[in-house]
Amino acid sequence: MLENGPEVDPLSPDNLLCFMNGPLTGSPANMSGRMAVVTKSPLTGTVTDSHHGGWSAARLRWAGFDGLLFKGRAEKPVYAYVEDGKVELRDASDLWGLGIHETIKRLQERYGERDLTVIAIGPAGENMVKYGCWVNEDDRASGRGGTGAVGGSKNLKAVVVKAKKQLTKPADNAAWKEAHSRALATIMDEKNVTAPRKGGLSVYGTNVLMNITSNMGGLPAFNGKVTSFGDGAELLSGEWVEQNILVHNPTCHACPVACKKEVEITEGPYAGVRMESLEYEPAWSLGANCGNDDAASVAAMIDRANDLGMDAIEIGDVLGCYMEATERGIQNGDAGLAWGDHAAMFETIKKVAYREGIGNVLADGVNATANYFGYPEIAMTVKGQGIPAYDPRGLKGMGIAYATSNRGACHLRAYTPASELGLIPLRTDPLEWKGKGELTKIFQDLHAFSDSLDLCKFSAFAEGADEYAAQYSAMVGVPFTADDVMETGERIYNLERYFNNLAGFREGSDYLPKRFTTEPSTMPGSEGHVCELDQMLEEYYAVRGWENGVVPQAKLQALGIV
Amino acid sequence: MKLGGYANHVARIDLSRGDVQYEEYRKNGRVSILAPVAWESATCWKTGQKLIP
Repeated sequence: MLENGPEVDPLSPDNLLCFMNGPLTGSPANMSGRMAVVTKSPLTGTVTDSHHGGWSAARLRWAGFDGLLFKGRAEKPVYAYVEDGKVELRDASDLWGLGIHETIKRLQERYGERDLTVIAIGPAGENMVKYGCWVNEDDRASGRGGTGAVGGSKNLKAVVVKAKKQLTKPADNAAWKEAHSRALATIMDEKNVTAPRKGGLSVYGTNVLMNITSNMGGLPAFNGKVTSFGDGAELLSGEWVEQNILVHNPTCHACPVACKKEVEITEGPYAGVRMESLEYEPAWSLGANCGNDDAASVAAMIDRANDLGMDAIEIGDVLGCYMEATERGIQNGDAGLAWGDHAAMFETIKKVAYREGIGNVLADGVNATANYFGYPEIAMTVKGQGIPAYDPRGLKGMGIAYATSNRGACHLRAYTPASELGLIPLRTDPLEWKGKGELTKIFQDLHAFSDSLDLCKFSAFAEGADEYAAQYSAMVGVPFTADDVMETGERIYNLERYFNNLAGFREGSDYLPKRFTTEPSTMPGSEGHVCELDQMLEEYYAVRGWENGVVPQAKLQALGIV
Repeated sequence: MKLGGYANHVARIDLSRGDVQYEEYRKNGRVSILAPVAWESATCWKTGQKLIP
């Protein structure tokens, strides 16, 4: 990334597009079925890494690779075929224009389903929708940041990996057995949400949070105008899904948790939809954020977003912004979009992918949409990326986490709700801002390391730095401690920030939408609260050793970055 | 191709030229991928290499 210069145009041939594994990939390590897609984001202009689950990462490792680094632009559409230590570029002209599902089907017909992974872009990526994404195995998206648009700019339609299972062997087998058993025991522990078929994450999936955050006034609804979706949250909840439309509990490589929840819609206008990604975040963005409490429509829209290859979180942010603009009054002749009109939402998503009509505006993201309609203040973004499903007036830690995320508004760089919702032993008050700056730094550093291993973020609901260090050390044969984990995470986070600083994100780049800091919550659980961002930023920069968001040279030297 | 171990193999694909180059990081010591690749930053740290040469 740095070799091309941080100022590289994200959609130019010079931008690097990386598909990366970690040192535990392909091994029996629990929850290690993650792959990172890394590039400079066309949506934010920052570095971005977006991870997906399934079997792609393990199979890439079994095919002989820890990473694929793409640069340049093919003359005509191609896909990369990876097998047995070789990468070949093959003609994808017949696949260009197809949705994800059909692309995968055709490549499976060509190479056989067995031992095959297909990671692809859809029309959204091809048309360089700024939040076009890569989708693996039909439903597992590297959703955030527009990595698919980068693929589209390079005429790269898919990465196809064929590899038989051959588990990665640890350098120290005895130490590995001990480390693996210890990590597994924490995941299986019935007091943790990860406990198979007992913990909330395993039983209800990520959507277990929907009614919880709503009831505490921490769920941004109607484009963040309010902090709860009331009874509507129950109709979108993991409990409702489990009781009404759940048909299967799929999982990823080496994961006993099985948080994926496959659903099938059997009646109504969306009958026939079967998909496995009715997750909390997109269920919020296309549900509560848009005033829509119809779970079947949400499932259908997520499936459509996946098939078209666009971030199912970002499209909900965009549509929510479009709806609020409509409510305020549109002066340019556009028909607008009403809160909760899921039939119109369903059609608009397709217009975005093909950049048709108003879709061409919406395709450039939330900020572009808000500016187009003349209401820049309703863009619920940080660094150009739409917020996810936590309202920082009810969960204060998310405020500082969104503001300081190196990839724009994001819940996964520092998952402070793990503490604020009491999912881990270190429990903090969600309405207290003091200490959240330091808490955010700790989570950012820890997650930077686990994202690098690459383990599922949910491992942090059970495991900690000790478990990560033991597994890493046993696998690669390098002595490593919990302190090393945190130090490495800190170095990664500072390096990312340094990249962003060089890319133009300087003093004052860490902010929140003003709605969160100036409009008090009116809902039970967080009523009267705003997010005290300035106070938290001061605390955060102090523990980071940064100067108003910029990494000083001395810090870079101390961490061995320069 | 050594499989089943800690390989550190990456492929660099130049789409403009249709060219594929294979690299093993421990051999050439190059560091050109930004985090999040812990094996890179961690191993470089341990071997005393700077992340940005």
